[in-house]
Amino acid sequence: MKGLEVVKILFRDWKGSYKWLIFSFVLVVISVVGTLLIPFFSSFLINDGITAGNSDIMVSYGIYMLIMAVIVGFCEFLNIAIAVSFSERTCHGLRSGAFAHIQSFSFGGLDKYSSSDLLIRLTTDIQNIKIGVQQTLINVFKSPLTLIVALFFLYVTAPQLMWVAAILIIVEILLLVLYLWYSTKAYDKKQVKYDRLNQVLKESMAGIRVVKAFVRQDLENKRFQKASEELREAALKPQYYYAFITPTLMMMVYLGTAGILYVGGSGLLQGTGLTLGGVTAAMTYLVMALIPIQTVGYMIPFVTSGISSLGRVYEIINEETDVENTPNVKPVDIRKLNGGVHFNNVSFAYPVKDEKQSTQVLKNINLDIEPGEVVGILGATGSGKSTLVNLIPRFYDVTDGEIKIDGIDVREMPLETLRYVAAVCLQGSNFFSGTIRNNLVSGVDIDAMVQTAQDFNVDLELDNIHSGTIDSSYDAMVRAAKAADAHEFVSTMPQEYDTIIARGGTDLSGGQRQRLSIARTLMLNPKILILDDSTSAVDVATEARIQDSIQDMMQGVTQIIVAQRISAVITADKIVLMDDGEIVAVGRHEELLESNKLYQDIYASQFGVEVPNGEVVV
Amino acid sequence: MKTAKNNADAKQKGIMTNLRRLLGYLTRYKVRFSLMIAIMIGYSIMLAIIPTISGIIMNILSGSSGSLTEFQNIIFVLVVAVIMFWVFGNVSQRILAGVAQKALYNLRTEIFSKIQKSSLNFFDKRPIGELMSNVTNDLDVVDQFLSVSFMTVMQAIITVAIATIFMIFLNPYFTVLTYITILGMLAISAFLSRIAGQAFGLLQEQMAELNGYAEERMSGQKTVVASNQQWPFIKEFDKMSQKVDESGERAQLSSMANTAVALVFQNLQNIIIFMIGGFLVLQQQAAFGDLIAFIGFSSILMAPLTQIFAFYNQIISAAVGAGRVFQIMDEKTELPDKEDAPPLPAVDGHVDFVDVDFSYIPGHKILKNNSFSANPGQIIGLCGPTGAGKSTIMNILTRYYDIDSGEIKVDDHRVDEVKQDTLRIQIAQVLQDPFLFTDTIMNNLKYARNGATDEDCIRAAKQANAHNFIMKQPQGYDTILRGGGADLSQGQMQMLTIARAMVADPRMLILDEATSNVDTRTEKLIQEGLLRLQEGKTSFIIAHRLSTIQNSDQILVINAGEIIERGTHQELLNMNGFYYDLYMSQFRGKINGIVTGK
Repeated sequence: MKGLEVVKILFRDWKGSYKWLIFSFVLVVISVVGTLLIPFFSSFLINDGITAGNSDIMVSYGIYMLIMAVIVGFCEFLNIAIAVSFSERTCHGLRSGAFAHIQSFSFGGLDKYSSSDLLIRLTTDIQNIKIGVQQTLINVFKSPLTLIVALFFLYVTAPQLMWVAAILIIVEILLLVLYLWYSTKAYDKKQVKYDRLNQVLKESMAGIRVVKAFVRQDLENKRFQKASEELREAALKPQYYYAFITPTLMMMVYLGTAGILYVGGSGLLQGTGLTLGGVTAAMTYLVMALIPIQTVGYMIPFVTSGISSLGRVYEIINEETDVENTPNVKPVDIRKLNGGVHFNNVSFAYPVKDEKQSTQVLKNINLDIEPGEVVGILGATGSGKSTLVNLIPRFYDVTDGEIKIDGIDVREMPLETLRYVAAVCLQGSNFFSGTIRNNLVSGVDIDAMVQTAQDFNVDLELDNIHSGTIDSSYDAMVRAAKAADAHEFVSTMPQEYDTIIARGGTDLSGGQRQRLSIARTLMLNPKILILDDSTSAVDVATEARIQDSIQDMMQGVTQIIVAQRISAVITADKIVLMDDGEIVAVGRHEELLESNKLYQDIYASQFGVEVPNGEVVV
Repeated sequence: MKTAKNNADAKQKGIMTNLRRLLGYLTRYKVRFSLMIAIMIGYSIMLAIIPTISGIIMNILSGSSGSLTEFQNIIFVLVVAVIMFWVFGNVSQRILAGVAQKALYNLRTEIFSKIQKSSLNFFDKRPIGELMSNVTNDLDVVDQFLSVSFMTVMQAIITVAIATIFMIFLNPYFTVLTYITILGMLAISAFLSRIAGQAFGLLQEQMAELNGYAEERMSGQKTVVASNQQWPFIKEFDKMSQKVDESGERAQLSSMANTAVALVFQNLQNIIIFMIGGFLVLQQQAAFGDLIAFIGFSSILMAPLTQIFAFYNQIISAAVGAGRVFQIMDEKTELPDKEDAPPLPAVDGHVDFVDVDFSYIPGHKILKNNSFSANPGQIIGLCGPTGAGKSTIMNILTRYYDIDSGEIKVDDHRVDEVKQDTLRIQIAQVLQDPFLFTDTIMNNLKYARNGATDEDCIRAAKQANAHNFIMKQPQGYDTILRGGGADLSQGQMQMLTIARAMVADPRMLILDEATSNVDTRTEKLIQEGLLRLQEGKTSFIIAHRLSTIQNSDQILVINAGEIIERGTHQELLNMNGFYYDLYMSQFRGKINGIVTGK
């Protein structure tokens, strides 16, 4: 997104806050004029007080200066307070809004941005915006105004000295522009080298076993030294530029002072009408005119990085939700659904930027799943199994064809309903740090939904969810956990369901995580239960037990079981065998074992037995 | 109470030791470092000369004494001082940049080679993320110290000292006056900084909490969608963000109030000098020029004194960061070679385990009383439940860890009595997770053996069935594997690691068979490659699926750290024991009925 567009949007969001900006402007005017009145008074203090020998005048001007100093300090503080409050609030709004918007993403949106990318936008970018907004608000009026007013005062006090100031200001601006240009480039180069160093570092550690196995520590050292040396050289440049610019900017101030002393002093000595106080004040005005230019120079990098961060955050906020309710959506009563699923000529390709690169992951799928059936889906990694089931609750939309649940196109069902009708227990499900109970019930916490919808002014049609079908009670949770064979191990934990688990559930075993994950999906009380490789980490006996108890609990519910192991689907009403995005066979285990070569191959490789003529030999 | 104080003292001492050691990396470059200090002193002198000359000029102007030429001469001196000031400032910073970057280079490479030398035990104790952060984040903080804070504070101290000397010579009254106001301001700003510090502490905590929350959700966002958890999360995040907003405002305000106070004080100071100085001038106690000079001095003093405050926190965090770096550097290298350990000569591949006991953590035995031997060229299969100790056996054969008792011998050489490198180089390993470097395919293959030629690598790739797909890559063997092979399929990566092991081609082989699912055709290609790789080598295959070790010369069945059964596939099946159960469990459950022909 272009910088200007971003700023425009920001201003749009700030509508209604204009009175604060105007107030801030008034404060800045007072503070700038006040700041410059101080040396103005000091020149009177010198001329009419010290030089003229009048102590009363000296004291009264001193008091004026003091009053000005306090007023300036006060205005300055208020102005900062406005900037701080403004920037913090803007960031809170952006952060919270972006997070909420990400929550509405379906899988397409989540694939487009990696999780670390999204995180950076929510954290680092927001931080950059805060600094940028703050710096801008503090300086946007102050710096130009200070420059103008300082020059005005200089002109009033000593018009003969204006040209000294003009030269210095032009030279300073030129120097700063050059500095920013070159140092930005040098920093970018340094960053490239820095990234390279990190890469070498990370690989050498992640691959430490390979390094040690082939005894190549020396090579790693050499590789790292090279990257480190390159970084050292690249890091010098920006530092050299910095070493140049800082004393140079100070020198400008001193040279200006010297110039004014010389020109003003010569004039004073030759009696051309300049006063001692005038020369002294002129020196201060010149410094005051030069400083805002420096401030702006140092501020520019913060502002530009703030603007580009703002662009990145707006990109998220403006990202169109890839899957949303279509205009044809009609409310559906979950209780009246039976759970039959029909794929008609479904094709699917993951959305990519370059159309030519898009490859069909699913080709022409036709599949009928009757209500209450247990269907196994089998195939190698990348054959399209997971993709197939992810289309049912519209984690992605089909590219072609249609999917119907009990004759209703899934795109005509409200999303809020659909995701309770067809629930997927994802492969490699995640858990969040918190109690087990929280992890299990937060998907069916009606109160939280209603409240959030109110707070964020979202139209949440609760009717679409049919609160009658979901239940977040303790009993419902225990029932789900029992069916998933999770109740037993949860009961042995110190606080049972109130036990706090670590992020990602890393303190649980893989099998325990999978069982809890199934329980969480069961809580949604779906009509179509989809288990995507959800029992790969539990042993065969447990797997069988879970399947049986789900069968008991979810009477009449359609089950779709995606698996790598034949043992997981061996008793299914039908097994769908997939290869390279196509359905190659559908049938019961015995049928496939008899007739299908691919199925026989898989069977052989999993059980270590050849299948001559469809007979199993041990 | 007392121990708390002792702890604080010890911490303070630790910080000083770390800083001193860190500075050692700068002072190592004696000539340049001393030159830099000398130039910094020159810089401060120039800085102090400038207001002094301004004062002299003002005296000339106010007294209307002195001739025009005298005035012009002294302006010339002023300009020269300003230019010298610029030269000194520029040169000292350049020298520092050079020395500091050298120091960083040394720190980086030292810690890196230390990490490389460390045993696997070292890596077990520390997650890679933490080590990464030691070398990057911690050294960034150290960089900040070496390149900026150290010099700024040094320069500030020198400037304050030199300016004070100048001031005392010029006018002791004004000096006292200036110091009183400056110290008053510093006291107030120290007070405000403490309030701000507390507020920032709170903010930091809440920020960390918010970041952690966001990170967790973002990395599990698909789960959030699938289990309809969005609503409560939106609400909770909004609450956290609100809190961060509020404490952010408080923290920023209290710290920025400082800026406003400093501004008022700076003006106040000038006003005091003007007023009191004015009276002194009126009573002929001081010259007008002194007054102007002191206005200049007060700003010269103010900046460094506030800087010392501002950089305090940075210096502390640099010391803490450096402490973490030094801690790694100082850690004793585990598993060093015995002194004058001989290299292991080229072996035939005879491996003997005699009564081997092993524990990662003392007291928690992982392996108990393991004995077996393998003859050159034999294939030994290892199987057993997860966590039984299969991989551990291989980890001690390659001496990644030392055993508690018993002995491991390769061709009658105890593994702990020969140089580790010469042992490992004779054992090729194909690990469970295929790991490749972001480099060309050719370089990845050459990695296996110092001095391997292109021909060696191509031959190996052909043997491993990898040649065909390599040639299909955009630049063939010169294709760079981005992200360590992120563009390749799992199967292709496995074939490359097999080819890599072929390039090494030693007498012994460890194969930790991967569990990942690849399509049946690729699987076949991989198996072919592995068989060729095993030819003529003593091979240890850690099996996750029993089908791959059925042809082994000997299968070791390991359970809970013990070899409980051994023999060929058929012998083990006949025993009708653990292996039999393991084998049959694949068919258990509901399959049982089918196998037995229900």
